[in-house]
Amino acid sequence: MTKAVLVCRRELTAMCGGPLAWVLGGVFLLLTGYFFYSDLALFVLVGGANQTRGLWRFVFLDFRLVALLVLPLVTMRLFAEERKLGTLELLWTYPVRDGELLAGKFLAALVLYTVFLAATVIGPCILYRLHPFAVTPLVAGYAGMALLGVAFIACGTAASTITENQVVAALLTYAVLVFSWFATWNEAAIGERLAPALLQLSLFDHFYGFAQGVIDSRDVVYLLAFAAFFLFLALRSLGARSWRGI
Amino acid sequence: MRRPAVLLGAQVAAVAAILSCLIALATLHPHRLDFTPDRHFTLSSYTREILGRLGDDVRITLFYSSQAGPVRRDMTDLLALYSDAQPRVHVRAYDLDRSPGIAKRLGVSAYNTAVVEAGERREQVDLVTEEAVTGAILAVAGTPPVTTYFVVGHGEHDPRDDGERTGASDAARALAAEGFRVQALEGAAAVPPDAGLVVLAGPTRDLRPAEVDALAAGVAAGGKLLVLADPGTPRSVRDLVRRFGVELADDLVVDERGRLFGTDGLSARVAYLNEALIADAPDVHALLPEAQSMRLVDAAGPNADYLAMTADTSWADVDRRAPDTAPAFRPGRDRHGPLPVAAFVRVPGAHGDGRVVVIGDSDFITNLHLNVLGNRDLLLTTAELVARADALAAARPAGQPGGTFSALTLTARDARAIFWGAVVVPSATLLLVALTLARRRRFA
Repeated sequence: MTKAVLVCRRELTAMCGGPLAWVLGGVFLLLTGYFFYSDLALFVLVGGANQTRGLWRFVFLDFRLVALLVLPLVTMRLFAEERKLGTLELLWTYPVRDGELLAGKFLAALVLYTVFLAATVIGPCILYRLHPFAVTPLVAGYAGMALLGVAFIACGTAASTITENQVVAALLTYAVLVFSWFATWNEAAIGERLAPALLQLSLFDHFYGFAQGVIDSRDVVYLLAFAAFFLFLALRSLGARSWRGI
Repeated sequence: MRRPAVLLGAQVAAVAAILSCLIALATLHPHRLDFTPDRHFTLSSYTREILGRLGDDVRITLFYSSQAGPVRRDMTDLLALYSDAQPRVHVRAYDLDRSPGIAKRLGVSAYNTAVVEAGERREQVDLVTEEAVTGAILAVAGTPPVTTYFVVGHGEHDPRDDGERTGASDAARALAAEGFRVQALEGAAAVPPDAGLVVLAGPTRDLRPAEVDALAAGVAAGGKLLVLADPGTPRSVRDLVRRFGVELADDLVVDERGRLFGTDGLSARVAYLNEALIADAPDVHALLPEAQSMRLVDAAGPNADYLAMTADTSWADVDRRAPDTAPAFRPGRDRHGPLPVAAFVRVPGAHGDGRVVVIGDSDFITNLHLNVLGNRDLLLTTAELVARADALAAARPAGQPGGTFSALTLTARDARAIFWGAVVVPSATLLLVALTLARRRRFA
C-alpha cells in the first residue's frame, strides 16, 4: 500500500509539474462554472419551485458531460506515456507489483479529479450565501459525480494500459463511455427486448438518480462494479507482458 | 500463446460473472437514501399504508414515449417505488408506439398513461403522480368508492369551482384520488339514497328547515355528514350541529404565538388529533385560516367527542374583535387554549350508526389553502373517519406547488457575483498557472 502511495505521489508530481493538469483543471472549472451559471439563470426564470428537480438535476447532468470530456484526457497519459518513453519497463524493474502500480496511478488520477470536483462547490457556496437552500441534494449529486469519476478513471486507466499512444488511449475511453451513454440515447432505435438490458447497463442511467438527490444502492453497486471490471482488465493488460516474455 | 488467451478469457468471464451476481443481488435488495428536501423519492406513509393493506395482486401497465426519456424515467422511478414497497404490485412499461395491441386492449391512446388493474377492475391514470397512482390502486384493490355530495346553494365552497379563494375543486380532486366520487348537490332537502358522505362546506346563508331536517334524518338513518362551519355561520347550521351535541362557540381562534411567517396571526394551528378516534394519528399540523371553537353539550342519543385541538398558545376571542383591532387577550373574558376546533359524533340508529364530523372552519379546504401545511391531510383524514368504518389515517403525499416562476430570485448584482466567482476566477487562476508553467518550460 505504501508503494501505491509512493507511485501516486510520483504521478501527481509529474502531472502537476506540467501544464496539462492545470489546463484540464481550468477547462473543467470553466465548463462546470458556466453550466452552473446558465442552469441557475434558467431556473430563476422558469424553473418552478422545486430546486432539486429544477436546478440541481440539470447542474449535475451537465457536470457529468464535463467529466466525460475531461477525464479521458487525464487518464490517457497514465501508462501510455510511460510505455512510449520506455519508463514503464524501468518501473517494472523496481520491487513494485502491477497491482500497486495500477493502484498508485489510479489514485493519482482520482485525487486530481477530486480536487477539480471539490473546486466546483464554489458556485453553490456563493449561491448559498446569497440564498440559503437545502444542501442535502448536493450530497447525493457530488457522491454520484465521485462514483462516476471512479468509473471513468478506471475505464481510462484500462485504455491507457493497452497502447503507447495517448490519443488512442483517450479515444478508446471516449468510445466506451460515449457508447454506454448513446446506447440508450434513442430507445426507438434498439429492440424492445434489448432496450431494458441496455438501460440496465447504461452508465448514465445509473447516474440519473444521484442527479435527482437520491442514492440508490443499485446505482452505487453498478458504478463500482463497472470500475472494478475495468481495473481488472487493466491489471490483466499489465500482466500480459509475461506472455510476451518481457 | 493460445493457452494464456484462453486463461485470460476465463478470468474475464469469471470476474464479469461475479460482478453481475453482485449487481443482481443489489437489484434484489435495493436501498435508497432520499436526500431531496421534499422526500420526493420516498412513498408517503399513506401510500405505504394502502400498499400494506393490499390483499390482491395489482398490475400497473405504463405506456411511454421512447423519445421522452426523462419523463419515462420519472414515471418508472415512481412506479418502481411501489413494486419495491409491495411485491404484490407488478409494473410493466411499454413504448406506446411499439405496443399498439396492448394499448388498444387497455383502452390507452396517449403517452405517459398508466393502467392499474386488480382482478377485473381497472383504472386509468392520465398523470402519473403518487397521488393519482395510489388513488387508482385504492379504487381497484381497496375499499369501494364513496359517493360524496357537496351541498351547494347557500354560499358553500363548490367542488366545481376553480376559484382560488372560494372554490374547492382541488379538495374534490384530492378526495377523488382517495376513492370519494364527488358531486355537487343543489340544496339538501332531498339527499340521494346512494350518498356515502354529505359535505356542508361553509354555508354563509341559512338552510331551509326542511333541509336541516333532511340532513339530521339522514344521519339518524346511518348517514355520514361532514360540517365545516366558519365563525359567524348561519343559525340553521348551528342548530343542526346542536342536534348532535356540538355547540359552535361563534368566537374566533387567535394563535399569534404560533403564527406562521406571512400570515396575520389569526390562523389556528391544529396541534393534536384525538388518538382514541384516529389510531396512529399523523402530525397533520393543519392551518385553519379563520376558525371558531366548539364545545360538547348534552343531546339525546349522539355520542360526541373532540377530534382536534389547537395548541395551548392559542386563545378564543369571544367577541370576534381581532380582524379589526390588534389581537389582545382579555383575562376573564376570552378563553385560553388549547381549544377544540373539531368534533366527532356517532349517532346510533336502527340502520347502523350515523357519523358526523364538525370542524370550526371551512376555508382550509379552498384551493388557496388546501395544500398549506397539513390541511389536505386534515380533510382526507376526517373524510375517511366519517365515511369509512376502517379509517385510513396517515400523512399523504405533499401537494406540488404550481407555477413556473422560481422561488429563487437573484438581483443582477447577485448574478454577477456568481458569474465571476464560479465561472471566471477559478478557471482563470488555473489557466494562468498552466500558462506560467508552459512559459517556464519553454525558457528552461
